[in-house]
Amino acid sequence: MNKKIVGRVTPEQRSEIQKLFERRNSLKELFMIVDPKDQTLYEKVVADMGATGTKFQKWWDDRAAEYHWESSKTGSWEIDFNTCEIFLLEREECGCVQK
Amino acid sequence: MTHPHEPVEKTDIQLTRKINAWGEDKARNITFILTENCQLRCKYCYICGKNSFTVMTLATARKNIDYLLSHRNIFNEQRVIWEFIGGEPLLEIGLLDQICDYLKLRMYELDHPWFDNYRISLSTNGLLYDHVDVQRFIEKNGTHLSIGISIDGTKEKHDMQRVYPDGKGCYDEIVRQIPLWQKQFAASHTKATISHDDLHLVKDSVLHLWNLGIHEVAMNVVFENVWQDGDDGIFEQQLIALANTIIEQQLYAENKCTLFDRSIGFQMDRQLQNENWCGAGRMLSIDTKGNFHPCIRFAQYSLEKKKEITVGNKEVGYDLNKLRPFLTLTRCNQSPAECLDCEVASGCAWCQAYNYDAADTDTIFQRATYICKLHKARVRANNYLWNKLDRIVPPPEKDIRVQNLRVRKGMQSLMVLANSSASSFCHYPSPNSEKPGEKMSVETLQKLVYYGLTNNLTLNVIVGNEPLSPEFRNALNECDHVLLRPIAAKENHAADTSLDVFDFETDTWNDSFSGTSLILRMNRENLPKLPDWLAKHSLAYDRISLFIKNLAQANEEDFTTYRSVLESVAAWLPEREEKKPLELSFLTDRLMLTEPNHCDAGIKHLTVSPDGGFYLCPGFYYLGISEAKPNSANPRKITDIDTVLKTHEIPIKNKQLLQLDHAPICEKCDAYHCKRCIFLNRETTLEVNTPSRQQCVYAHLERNTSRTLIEPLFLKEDVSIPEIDYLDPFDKLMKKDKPQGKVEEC
Repeated sequence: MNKKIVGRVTPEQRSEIQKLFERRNSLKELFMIVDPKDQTLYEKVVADMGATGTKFQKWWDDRAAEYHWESSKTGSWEIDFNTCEIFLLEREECGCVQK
Repeated sequence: MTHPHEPVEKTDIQLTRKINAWGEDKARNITFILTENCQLRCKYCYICGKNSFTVMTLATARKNIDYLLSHRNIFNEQRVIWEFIGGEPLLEIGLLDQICDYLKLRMYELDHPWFDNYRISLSTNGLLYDHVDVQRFIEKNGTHLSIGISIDGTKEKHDMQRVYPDGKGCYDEIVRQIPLWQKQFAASHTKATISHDDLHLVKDSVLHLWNLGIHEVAMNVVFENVWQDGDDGIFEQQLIALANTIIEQQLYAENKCTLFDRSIGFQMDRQLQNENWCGAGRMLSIDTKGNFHPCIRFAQYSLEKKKEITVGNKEVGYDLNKLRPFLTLTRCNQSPAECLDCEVASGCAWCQAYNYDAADTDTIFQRATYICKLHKARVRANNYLWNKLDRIVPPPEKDIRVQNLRVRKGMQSLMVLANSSASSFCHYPSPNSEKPGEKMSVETLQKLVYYGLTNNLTLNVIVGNEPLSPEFRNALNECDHVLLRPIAAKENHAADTSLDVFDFETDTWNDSFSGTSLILRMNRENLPKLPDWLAKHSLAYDRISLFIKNLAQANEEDFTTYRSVLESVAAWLPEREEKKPLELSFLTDRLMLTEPNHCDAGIKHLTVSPDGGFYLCPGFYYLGISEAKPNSANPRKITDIDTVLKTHEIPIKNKQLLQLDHAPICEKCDAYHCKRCIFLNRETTLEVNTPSRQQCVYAHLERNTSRTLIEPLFLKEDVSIPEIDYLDPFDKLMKKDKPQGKVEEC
């Protein structure tokens, strides 16, 4: 796998995606323990996961449009939360491991 | 700014990096003591009250979680780290799993900000790591979970300390868990502990852990009173051997061990660097019964002599009064004077609870210092490693060690007399060059290089006319050094950094001479020739430092002559500056200085004779030779390199007399460029802290002439040297101190 830096976002933009990343992970792990019989909680979590996933993807779409990062059919972008750097990861098969 | 398509070249090396802690100072650590039981009885473990019957109940945990999540005004950090500890927390994996499920649900139900900002952290002995229940727990909490497995190093070291109640070691059982652990936690790191018995295994243990693929190793010595005489020497040699292996095998690129840290070993400012090392009080620990503690080590099962300190519980609430001492603890208000004055204080750690347990009274404000010698040994080894590594991989300017070295005070260099017949480079008289000098052996130099590397000292080597042997040069090239070489023999002493010494009376100028910095030694009778000499030869150097050889004998007529010499040079200098900038120690230094720049022999540097003896400066070495009785030691010798390497101390008697605040005439003087030569002081006034009239007047003639250069050199905006009506500050002092009334006879 090749990894190269293709850009950088602002610290504020980094914080936005980091928060969404954290919430998405928290919801995934919460979903594993929610009792489907508890319908109210279950539906709330499902809706929350959907909304968070949408915001997450929108952030990447908006930033890609803003910065015109180099892209590839077989690659995906990754952010380093410490440095705000955006990397392009080239791999054999298609993957979507944006984090 | 980085171009989006430009690859970034990473120049950092792992060894210099800090181990990243999630959340850093924005996270609240909340620790649950799940059980006081453990399968092991590690010999250095601070938990002295292990038992198999004290376990937290789920009900206790739930009530405490509800309390914490409902008091956002108190627990208001942006992030939280939920820590679980024992004993061995994985003995209670079922309870742990239920607690974490409850945590997640309650944070979400309460719409608590921590739901988006939490981690779960465990420290385990690893024995149950591959248990099906533990693996299920990891699967459920993977993205938030961090698990540290304690492995101490080699099998010998681990099994010496981390043992079952029957004394059997557990290395084999732990090491088989490592591959699975590394697969699940790519950035896995371990925490290892060093105690007296396993000190000799430190090097092999760090290398072993790195070989296991654990590239981040946190290691520290125990704070307890277990250390014996000589342990610091063993520790230093272990770390030096490790440092050599790190460099030889280039292990610095991918590995990290916290024993090596670029921020340690510097004096700390009492105001700016006064934070408490320990986080006790800023974190919260909850014991099996639900009582709150400033950290787990204040729970009774961790304390040997003292009663536990609780800071409330869910019924009575968080006792903020009990927290006040913890939150107002600083480095300075708990440390003894030796720590506050310590020149290598940074990085020296303590455990607040052990301080409390070991204190003479029931207080947390008494720092235990049993690790003092171990810390100093660690600092020396760090200096050795970084000084060597920085010559291979130069650090960036912003690097913390680079910055600290730049502003440090105290000893900075050794003046090394490679040959006792080497010519003088400053005020002391040159030795008789007709007699063959004593040469320093390579073995002695190697010891000085080691001392220099371990104490951040540059070696300023004073050489004679003869070339140094290849062995001597090789040894010297291991450390930062500068050669002070006679200009006539400069071809014999090729070096990256050197100062050329030209003796006006004995050397002959050659137009091929050139370089960066020249030391010009001259008799005062020849000073009238100085302006012409400078006009002819000064373009060959960027800086010229003048030393007047027989300054001590100068009289009023000489003062007048020197004034006129200075005026001539000052009249010529601005024109010369237009061709090429020139620094003259006796005219331009004062324009650049805002504080004294004295020689500071005995404070910033010491001199080492060819046989390894330590002296205040070369002048005192040669003075001692002339004073010594036949077959007796040099009476001016302070100590020698062998003793220094053993004791790490340089016992200068009445050292305070070398400091400016003990020099009554110099204390308030603003002839900042004056070298304040303590050798000349001793020769002329018999006291190292008292200068002669000649030294003061010459320095003030220079000071006052510098003042006239402010306008011609366009420095009016930056430089201010007040006009004064005296040439000898002694006169001013006497005038000021002259009693106004009648003086009673004693």
